[in-house]
Parts: sequence; C-alpha cells; structure tokens
Amino acid sequence: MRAGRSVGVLSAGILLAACSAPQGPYPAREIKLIVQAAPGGTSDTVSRVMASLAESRLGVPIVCENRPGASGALAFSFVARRSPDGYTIGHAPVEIAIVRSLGYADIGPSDVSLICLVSKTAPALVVQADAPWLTFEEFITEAKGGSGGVVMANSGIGSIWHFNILLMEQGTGARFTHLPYGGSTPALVSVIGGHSDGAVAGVGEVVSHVQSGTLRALAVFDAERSSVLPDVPTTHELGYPIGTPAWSGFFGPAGIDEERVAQLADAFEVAFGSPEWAKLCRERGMQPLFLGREDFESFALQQQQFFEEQVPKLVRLGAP
Amino acid sequence: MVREDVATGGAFLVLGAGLLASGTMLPAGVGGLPGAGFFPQAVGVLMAALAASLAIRGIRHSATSDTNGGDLRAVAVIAALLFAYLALWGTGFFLVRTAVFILLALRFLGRRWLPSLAFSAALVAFVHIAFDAGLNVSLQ
Amino acid sequence: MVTAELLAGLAAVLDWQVLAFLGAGVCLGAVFGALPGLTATMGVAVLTPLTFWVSPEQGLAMLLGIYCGAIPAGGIPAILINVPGTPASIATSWDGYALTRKGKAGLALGINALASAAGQLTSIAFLAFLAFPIASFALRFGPAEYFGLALLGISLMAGVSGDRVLQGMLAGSLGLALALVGLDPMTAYPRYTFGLSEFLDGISFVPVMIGLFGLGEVLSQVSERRARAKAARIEIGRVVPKAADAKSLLGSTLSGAGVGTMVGAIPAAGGDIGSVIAWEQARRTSKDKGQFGKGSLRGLAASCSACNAAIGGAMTTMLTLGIPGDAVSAILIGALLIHGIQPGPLLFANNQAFVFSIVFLLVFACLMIMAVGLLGARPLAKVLSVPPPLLWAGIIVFGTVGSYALNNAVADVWAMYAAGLVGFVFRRARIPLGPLVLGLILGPMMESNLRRALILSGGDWLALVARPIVAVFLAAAVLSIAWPWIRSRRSASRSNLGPPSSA
Repeated sequence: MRAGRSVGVLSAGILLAACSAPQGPYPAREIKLIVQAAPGGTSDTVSRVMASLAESRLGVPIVCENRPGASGALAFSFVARRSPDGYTIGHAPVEIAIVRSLGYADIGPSDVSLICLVSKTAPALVVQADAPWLTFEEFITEAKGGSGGVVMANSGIGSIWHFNILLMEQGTGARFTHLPYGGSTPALVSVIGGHSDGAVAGVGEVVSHVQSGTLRALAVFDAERSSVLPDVPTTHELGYPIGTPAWSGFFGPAGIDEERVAQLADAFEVAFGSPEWAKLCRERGMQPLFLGREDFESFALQQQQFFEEQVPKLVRLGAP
Repeated sequence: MVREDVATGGAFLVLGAGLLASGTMLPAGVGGLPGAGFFPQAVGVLMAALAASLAIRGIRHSATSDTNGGDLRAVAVIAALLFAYLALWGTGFFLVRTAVFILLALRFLGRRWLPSLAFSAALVAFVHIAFDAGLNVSLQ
Repeated sequence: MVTAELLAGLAAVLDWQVLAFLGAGVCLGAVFGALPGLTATMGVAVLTPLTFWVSPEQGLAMLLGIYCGAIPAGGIPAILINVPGTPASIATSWDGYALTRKGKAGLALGINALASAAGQLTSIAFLAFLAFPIASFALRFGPAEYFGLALLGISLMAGVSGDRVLQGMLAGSLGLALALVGLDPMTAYPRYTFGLSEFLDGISFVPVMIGLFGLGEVLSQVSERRARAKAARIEIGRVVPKAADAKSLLGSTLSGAGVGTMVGAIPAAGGDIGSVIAWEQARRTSKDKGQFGKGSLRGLAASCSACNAAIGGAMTTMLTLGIPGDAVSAILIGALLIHGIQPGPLLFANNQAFVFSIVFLLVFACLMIMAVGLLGARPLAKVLSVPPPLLWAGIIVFGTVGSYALNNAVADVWAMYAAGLVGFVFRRARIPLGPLVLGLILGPMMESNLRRALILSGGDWLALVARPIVAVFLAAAVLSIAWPWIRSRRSASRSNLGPPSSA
C-alpha cells in the first residue's frame, strides 16, 4: 500500500492490472528487490548499491526488502511464488544452488528466471598471523600428519565456506577437526583469538584482517590471483584445483517475459559498468564479473548440478 | 495444596518429559561428543525436576488464598480480535484493517465512537508515515 | 604528538554540520529506541544507506548518534509502561516500572538519563585509555569462556526471580527449550522445526520480547482494568535525584559501567546480558536486597549504566580488532568500509586522529542524549495520563508492525502474539519472565560453546574448568545458585530462634 504516490502512477498501475498484459511500457511502477540476508551484510550492500545504480536506467525506483532466514531459502521461495510480472525480483547468491541439496526448500536455479550475474568471491584459507605455517603446503602437511590435530573453524555446516573446507580435505587428503560457528565473522574471530588454527572465508571477509596483520592468508581457492590479495598464491598454482566461489546475481519468478528480463539485465549491466560498482568490488574483495541471462543460466545450472552431486557426498547433517 | 503451583508444576512436568522423549529421537553424539539430542534431553531433565519439586511443594503446603480474579472475558475477546486480525495478514488494505481492529478494540474497552475513530486514524497515519514511507516496509 | 592527533580529532568533530548530523542521529535514535518494535540495530541498519551520500564524519556522526540515542531511550518505555524499548533495557524495566507505580516516574527517568550517560562516558573513557588491554581480554574468549559466561548468566535466573525462585527457574528452562528450535548450531540438524523453513533459524528473539513484555503487559492490564482504574495514581515527582541519593548511586553506577564495558567488548555478548549481570551484582552487594525489583534506585542505576556501557565496549572491540562487538557495530563496520575506513589495529596506528574523533563524537552524543533525557522526562511522563486503552492500542500496533518489519516475516508476528499469551498467563500465575528471556538469549550461546569446547578438548569435560576465566565464571555461577539456599537455611534457623522479620 503506497497511497502517497501520485495519482498518475496509481492509475497507470490500475490500468496495467486491468489489462493484465505483459505489453505496455515496462517498468511502469517501482520494482521490489528481495534480499535473502539481513541489512548491513555483503548481499545487502550489493543489492542496495546495484539497485540504486540501475534505477536511473529503468526510470523507476528499485526498493530493497530484506527477508533473511534458512540460508536464503525463505526469500527464494517468496520470490518464486510472486507473479512473474517483473516487479518482484530477488538477489541470487550461491545458496540458491545449494538450499535444495540441504533440504531447506525445494527450489533451485532451474525453478526461476535468472537475470544476470554481477560478481564472484573466491574463498581464502587464513591462519593466525603468527602461526607456524607460512605456506599452504606446510599447513596441509601438518593436517595430513596429525590425527585431526588441526582445527578448522567454519561458518556453519552446509555453508559455502564450510563446503570449501570439505573440498580441501577431499582434494589434498588433509584431515581437520571441524569447529562450526554461526557465520564467517565468529569463525575468523576464533582464528584471530588463537582458539582454532585456520578458517576458510571469502576473500572480501579476510582482506581487512590480513592487511591489518591479525591473519595470514595462505591460499586463494581460484584459478587466478585475487586483485585484493595479489601476493597470495592460488590453489590452482599450487597444483590443487579445488574451491568453489560465492557469487551474486539476480533472479525473478519463473516465466517472466523475456523482454523484461532483457531490460532488467541491461539496467544491471549499465550499473555494472559504473565506477561506484568497481569501487564497491575493490573494497569488498569481490571480483566484478558480468554474465548475461544465458551465460548465467548455464553457470547456475552447472553449479546446481555440482552441489547436488557433492553435498550428499561431503556434508553429513547431524554429525560434525 | 497450592493449586497454582501444582498446575504450573504439572504443565511443565509434561513439557519436560516431552522434551526428554523427543530428545532421545534426535541424533546422539559421535565419538564421545554430545550431539543434537544432548541439550534437549538435558533441558528436559532440568525442567521435569524443577516442575516435580514445585508440584510436590504445592501439594504439601497449605493454600494461601489469593484468588486473582480479573476480567478474563475481556482478555479472551481482545486475543480473539488480535488473532483474527493476524489471520487476515497479507490480504491487502493493511491500514484499513488495522484501523478497523483498533476501532473494534477501543469500542469494546468502552471508548466512545468518535474519539476512537480519530485515534485509530491518527495511529494508522503514523504507521503509514513511519513504516510504509519511512522504513519501506511493505504492509499488506 | 598524541595531543596533536587529539586536537585534530576534536577539530574534525567541532563542525556545525557534523554536530547537526550527530544531533539528528541522537533524536532519531531516541525515537527508534523509545518505540517498542523498533530497535537500535534496525535504526542503524535502515539509515546506513543514507550516509553514503555525505562525508565520513557526517555519516558516522549520524550512525553513532542513533546508537547512543537509542539505548538510553529504550529505558523510557521500560520505565513508564513496563515495555522495554530495546532488548538491552529489559533489566531497566524491573526497578524502573516499579518506581513509576510508586509515583516516582520522574526520578526513574532522571536516573535513566544520568546513569546511562555515566555508563556511556565511563565506557568511552575505557575506549580512549585502555582499548588494547580490553581488546586482548575480549580475544581470550574462546568457546570454553563463552560457555562459562553463558552459565554464569543462566545461574542468575534464581537471582532475578525475586521470591518465586522455582517458578522463575521453570520459566528459564522454558526459555532454554524455546531456544532449541531451529537448526542445531553445531550439526545443522533441524530440531523442533515441524518441517517449516520459517523455523530453521529458530524463534526470533525481538518479537518474543515484544510479545512477552509488550502484549503480555497489555493483556494483563486489560484483565485488571477495573481494579486499576480506581487505583490510578499519576505522579511524576522530581526528575533529578537529590545529591545524597546521587552519591549513594555512584558505586552501583560505576560498577555497572565496568561490567557493561567488559561484556560489551566480548563479541556476541551485549548490553542485554551485561545489564542483567550488573543488576544482579548490584543486588548481591547491596544491603537492601529486598528492594531490588520493587523499585530500587541502585538496581535501576546499575542496569541503565551497564546497558549503555556496552556501547563503548562494543566500539572498543570494533575499532581495535575490526571485529563487531554486537549487532549494531557489525553494521557500523560495513558503513565504515563504504567510506573507505578499515577498523582494526592499523586504524589505531595510522589514523589516531580519526579514532579520537570517534571518541569525541561519542562524548557529544552522550551529552546530547542526557540533555534530551532530562529535559524530556516531564513531557514524556505525560504518557502516563494517556487513557490506558489508547496506550494499549498503540503498543499492540507498534509491536505488530515492528515485529513484522524486522525480517518482513509474518511468522515473527505469530511468534509475538503467542509470546504475548505466554506473557499474560505467566503474569497471572505470577511466574517471573526475566529468567525466560535469559534462557532464550543464553541457551544457544551455552549449548554451542559447550559443544565447541568439547570438540577442542576431545570430549574432556574437566579440561574446560582448567582455564582461569572459565573457573572464575563457574565459581561465580555455583555461588549464585547456592547462595539463596544457604541464605534461606540461615534465615530458617534464625527464625526458629526468634520472631520472623517482616519480609
């Protein structure tokens, strides 16, 4: 209910609703962007900045609404149930490809209209700044030798960074004692305080601690070096092609008119090219990466398949 | 017998026993570590023990007669209004529904029509300005 | 050298625009804090995007203003209508509302304003002079220490139950049970979710708090409205405490500030826990224990001071380590990053002037909210002369909309109403609600950290006690559980000898 809007917009909206046709000018009224996380975090910032940059291209406001919960499953299901008119869209993080495998909600990238991808964040392995291990190899050797003597803090069972730790075990033969926390921040705090030996979190989340000298990054799980941590080797360089990134994109309910998806993708692409977006990516350690509708679809479906195969194999809910 | 204590103790005894029973159905721990079911069982035991001691104390002691009467009917009506209001959440016209709810509640509590109407209109207007427009909460 | 930085920091703040933003933030924060259903976290989160368009000093001034304004303001509805405005002011309602019922609402509001300011100023002083020792203390908190802190908090259940200890402990165990709902924090196994994804993250705390204290209080006033109408006695009384009173409150205010700063500095523990611990500490060291919860000025001063001191504690951890000390400072870190400022040890080393300007912003915000609190006490207390039904309608509507607005989730409104019924039933059965809240806040902290600590110790329970901080916490917890029993034994044996003292 937004009675305060001008009569013109209101009557246009009523007219549109009356015709209930996808024709006519789009967008004619404000677009709602559902964010799956609480205000203040990276997902929220990405959505708000992208929304404010894309608004001018579309000529209507894009209003963000936070619906956190169940790793994003609540927000994904909420958006998927809206009418596919292009006026309700959602932020699509990597979790949209994972929640079904975890049993949180029966939804995945194949059940929605994907719009575009705007960024990617690689995982990084960090240890305390004065830890004895100077390289990835030393850390892995230690974890192989001991019987679970190396403690890895993770950001919660089933989270993307925990999953990367499991991939690391699988790919290197290391064995860790896993210490689950409720998010990346407490997991990193646990390493800074010396309560656990290492943690995996997004490059953007560790970079400030690495720069201020409380944490040391041993490897970035990616094929290319990170622009914010250029001195840290990648796992691919070291001969371990492991790791799967977090990402940020946008989606809507299944069945949105293709024209409208193209319009939205175009607006986000314009936003993507702005210096503000480049600045945000630099500050948050994200890699700007634009994939249009088709490329995003094939990427997201590939991710969905990957998680559907790997999650049951690696993640055992109910056991640490 | 202190009926209040016996009733409280009895209700919590049932709840505690339920927690304990359901806790045993949750995964037990692996390798000597407590699992998902450990804490529910511990809370269940604690609750049941406390409840039992309250109930026993209630049975032993003599009643101190302090019946606090109170207008339960009024509470029931307000609660019924509340849940009816909540059941209609998401059906549109949020502000109108809210105004009607306030009006009915105030009328029931003995306020006169006109002031009630004015107050509910003012309150709804404030909610609209603060939440709808200010905080961008979509209330429907 | 340091003086130059200090002056530079002060100069950056002494700018009329910055001060205007600070003032606007304080006033907005006061509104967010005072309205049940809006919290400090929400205020900072909602206004953070607005600060992107202004200079870092102005944006930061606004956000810090909201933070410092909201917490003291949260005590106002707690005092006047027994509904805490923010989770941090739960303990404030215990003595504050009792004072209002005695016709001393003005004095309660005055003490809230003054003790809050004292708490904030003390914690800012800690931030300015002892930031690094406090930060290294906070970093020593591993799983075992958190478990110890949570256990200490839970052991206070008996203390905050007044003379209804068993009922209070039962309410506490209900809080612990409700906190079980959701994914198991350690293994992500769903517990008591009944297949609903709305329950996977557990029951949201703020709606439950609004329900227990807001709606529950409204329903219980509705049921007693005839009796109350006759007994209505609206007096505000003096606002500023007498010099002798103020002097006697100094000790509990300062010790409350100390406790609040330390608890606030520990990540994942904030003003809500801090103020309860401070209240109980003041009670135990006081000669008039019986007054606590029935309108003790000391209890009020300690809880107000502690929940505000948590601000300085949280800011200390945030600025020195780049780690959020609570939900608000987590959002503040994001806001600072947007402005290109990275909190952490380097900030202290390289940009001391900026740290000092934050300190000055906090000091000015604190003085502003104190002035607002003192000057506003009389007008605000006019709320008491509003006809109760209108007040009830306002509480219900704001509670409803606020619960929804937190996560845009109807499930939260259901939780609020259900908690309202529980709150009403508990009030009727005279079961204390304080322990329920303690259980709800501390249950997850106790469980997950106990299990984390056991993973680290390889399942060895005794290894937990071997850590000094844990041992201190555990000893205090045992003492606070055992003390009422010892005391009742002693008084029982005494009453056998002589006439019972009037309770």
